[in-house]
Amino acid sequence: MTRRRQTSSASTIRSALRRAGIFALFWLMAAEGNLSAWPLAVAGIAAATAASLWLLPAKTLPPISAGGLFRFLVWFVRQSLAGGWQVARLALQPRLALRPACIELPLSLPPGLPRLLFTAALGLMPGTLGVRLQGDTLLVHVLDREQPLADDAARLADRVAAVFEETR
Amino acid sequence: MLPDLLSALLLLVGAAFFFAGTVGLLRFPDIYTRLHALAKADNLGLGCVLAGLALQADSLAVALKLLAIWPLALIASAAVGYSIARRAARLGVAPWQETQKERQP
Repeated sequence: MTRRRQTSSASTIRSALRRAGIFALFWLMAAEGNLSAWPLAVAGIAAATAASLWLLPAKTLPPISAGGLFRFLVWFVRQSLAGGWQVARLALQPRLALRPACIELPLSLPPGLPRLLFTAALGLMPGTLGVRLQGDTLLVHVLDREQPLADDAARLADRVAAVFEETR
Repeated sequence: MLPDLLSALLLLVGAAFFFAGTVGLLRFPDIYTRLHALAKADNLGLGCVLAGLALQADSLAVALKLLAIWPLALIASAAVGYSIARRAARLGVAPWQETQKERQP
């Protein structure tokens, strides 16, 4: 019992340090490397870290694989470019060629952050928009009901799963 | 010279995507399809505009700051898009469909 509490508080401290480091980098970027306002920076980073630990406690955060995250981001940027291109074409076409529908999509990813990332990413990919998470299904609005939603979703789910796969 | 040219090109392409997103917002028939247009086209437009501006930045720090805006706006737009769609579904807004005649295969 005490051991478990110890390891959980140790992981909270590790996680707090990591997040404070990320917020410090953001500050440096926003301040363009100018350190003259450092007391404000310390207060801001402390507040951001506290809010982050409160909203997403260390123990609810599954381990993240750096390689998986990188591969996800590269793939996601390409997909979101394709999504923007497709919807821009649909908007500018003389004839409106929309055949939208709402489709129930069963989810294989575990609840929590993986599902959240899946839903958020789906909204920026070609032709799909997450509407409602309910139980183990996500209601998805598609611009073309003929599009292979199940295949697209399975590919995205694989990429998201790779982000949260334990590397050790 | 070349960076300036590339920057101008990226800014024009970005403006074109913002334009397409706005046309979609005006032309598309219901809240769900309009969310598609806004979230996706504007993100692409913002990415191009920011990349174009970063090429003209005076220092690396300013360029990085400009590029950092893109992922933050992406996160916000994904979260807001989902929230608006969910609220619309809760309020019972039915998705638009083509007319019955067109739907017959």
